[in-house]
This record gives sequence, C-alpha cells and structure tokens, in this order.
Amino acid sequence: MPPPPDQPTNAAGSDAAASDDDLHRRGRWLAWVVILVAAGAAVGVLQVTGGLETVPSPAPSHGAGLRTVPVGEPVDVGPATITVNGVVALSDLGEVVGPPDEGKRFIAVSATVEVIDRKTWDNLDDSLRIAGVPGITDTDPGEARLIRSSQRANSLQPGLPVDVGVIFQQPLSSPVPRTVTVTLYCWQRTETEFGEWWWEAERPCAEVTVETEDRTAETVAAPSPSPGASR
Amino acid sequence: MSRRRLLHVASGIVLILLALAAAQGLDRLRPSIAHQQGSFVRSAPTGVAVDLRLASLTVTSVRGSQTVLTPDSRYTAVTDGVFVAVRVKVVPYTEPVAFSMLEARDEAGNRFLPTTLAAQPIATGVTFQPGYGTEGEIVFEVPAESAPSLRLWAQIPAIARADTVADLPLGIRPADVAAWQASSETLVPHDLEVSP
Repeated sequence: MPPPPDQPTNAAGSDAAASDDDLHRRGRWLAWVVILVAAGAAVGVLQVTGGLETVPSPAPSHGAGLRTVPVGEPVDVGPATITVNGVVALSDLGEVVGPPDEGKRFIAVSATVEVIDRKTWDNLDDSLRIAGVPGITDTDPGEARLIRSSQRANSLQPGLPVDVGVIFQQPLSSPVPRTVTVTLYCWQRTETEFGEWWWEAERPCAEVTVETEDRTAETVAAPSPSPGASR
Repeated sequence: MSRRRLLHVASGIVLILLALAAAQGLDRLRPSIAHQQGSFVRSAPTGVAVDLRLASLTVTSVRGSQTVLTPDSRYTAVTDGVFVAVRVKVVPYTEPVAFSMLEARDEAGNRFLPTTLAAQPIATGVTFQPGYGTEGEIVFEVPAESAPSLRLWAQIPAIARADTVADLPLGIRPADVAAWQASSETLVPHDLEVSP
C-alpha cells in the first residue's frame, strides 16, 4: 500500500540512511588509507634514517678549524698521533739521504709518530707541511725518513712509535727562517659494510710554530754501510 | 566518531605497529651482508699447503731478527720490535695468479703490511706462473709482543667476497722472539727460488 502523501516515504528515509552509511564507509576507508600511507611513510623514513638504531658518536671533525698546538704535544691525525719536536736547518743529512739538490739546504721537521690505527700506515708524507719558509710553499710535500736509519718512513706499524724527520729543501738564496709553522693534516676514516676501512680526505687541522735550529755549519757523519750481513 | 569506531581504529593502528615491530625483529635476525658474502677462511699449519682455489700456499719456515738488510742491499734498518721473515711457497694451478692481500695479523687485531724496510720479492701484484712453484720470503715488522700470535693472511682475488682467504698460523714461540732480539745477525731476505 502506498504511503500517505503527507508522510515522508520509507524509501526517502532509507536512501538518506544508505547515503549516511556510504559516507561513513568511505570515511572508514579513507581513514585506513591515511593510516596505511602514514605507516608506509614512517617505515620509509625510518629505513632511510636508520630508525631507532643507536647512532654512533660522530667522528671528531678534523679540519673544522686549525688549532694551535705547542711543541711536544701529540696531535691525533686519525691513523696516528704526530708530536712535533723541533725544526732543524741542515746542509747535510748523511750518506743514506744524500746531499740536497744543487743550491739548496734541508729544512727538517723532527717528530714522533705513533700509529693508533690497527693497520700499517703509509701516508706520513701527506700529513705534514710547513709554512713561513721563504722558497717553500705551504703545499710542497716533504719526505719522511726514520731518524734511526735514515730510511723512508712509509710503512709505520701499530705499536711501534718512531722518531722521524720530514725533510724539505729550501733554496740557499733564501734565509734560514727564524720560525717555521708546521701544519698537520688530519684524515677521515671511511669504512665499508664488510669491515674494511681506509683513511682519506686529509685536511689541515693543527699548527705548531717552532723556532728553527740552524745547524747548516755542521757536517753529519755518514752511517756505515751494512756490516757483515749474512743470510 | 563513536567509541566503538575509535576502538576499531586504535586496534588497527596497534596491529600495524605490532606487524612493523615483528618485521623489524625478523630483519635483525637476517645475516649481515658481510656474513652472507664473507670469505671462506682456510687454515693450515706450517709445512702444509692450503688451497686458495687458484693456487696453493704453504708457509715453509719463519725466522726473525731486530735488524734487516734494506732493499738497496747497502744499509741496515733496526726496529724496536722484530722483523719476521715468513718463507712461503706458491703453486698456481692452471693460470697466472697474483696476491691481492698479504698481511700479518696478531690476536689484538693489528694488521701489518710487509715492511718497506726490506726487499719484498713476494708482494701483492707480483704474478706467479702455473707449472712452477715459487718460494720466497715476506718480511714484516711487528712489536715483539705481537709476534707469538702472528698469522699470515693471504688472498688472491681482488675482491675476497665469497672466495677463499688463507689464515696461516706462524707458530712463533716467545723463546724464538727472545732469541731474535738477542741476536746481532742481520736478516737478509732470501731471493726467490723457482722449481718445476
């Protein structure tokens, strides 16, 4: 039987209710979609940022600014500590090193190096420069030698500190500097997920100002060649 | 939103978080890439060859001193530790091989590369031909306290992932180290010996 014309129809009521239900259903779906998208985004962000993993302390920021270090104080350059002990001007370093190039003298930085890395280190040459020396630019590389044997200091071992001289050559036409500024370079450690690591991207990180000891008038006694070496 | 719906949504969120936590837990149980692709470490005592897939490697003897002849054979270098000369024999199987790693390791985790203070005829990058056995010494400079736990590590492929690495104990006794330190004899590395 059709409804009286002055009463709202059940069909109209049920349409409104259905529309209301549909709206709520869509709202629920929308809420779930938002939640899932938010969860996905959160997982993505956590994956990228490392989530709640413990973050290791950042490595010391070498090279952020040069600090001035007194003579005799060790500087951690990453794979090793370098202690600058003095600077000497010399005209001769003995037979093993040989004479300086024609018209030049040696400027030698004496230092103690202790490898604190777990691996043999071979980059001392690139870890030390000098400034304030007429005739030598602050980018000229030096040549590191073991003071004990005058041999090249290019395989320094963990647990065996050594005294070294890092040698530069200055034109004789330039005066022996009263002081020399020794710049130490610090290295950044890079590590792979396989546990391998290396040191790279050296940057100036410390300066040591040293008075030069002028010993250019002295002659260095030549080391004796290998005595009676046997197999 | 009714209380029932709120409960419904909240329980959904909790379930998602629980699923994420479970996934995170499972992820932690997964072996690391280093573990999945790690090297196959093979060991052998002195005198016994170890198979490195492309060649065999044998530590034949070990000796030491505090003084070593420098590469130019004119001077000597002295150490506060000891120079350890590890004599090895390399026999490639079917093709020329070269080592990508030769180093000595101690129990503290220190890794010593062959010293530049001595001649090193057996070194990384040196090619060994198949059909021949080549014997020679590798000289390391190490602290005296490291010597007794020293082991020779060697690998042939440039990337050792999922490939063979030799880990050879050198069998150095503290008495050997004491004798080397007391000796005044200069260590002169042997020349290479090639045998068919």
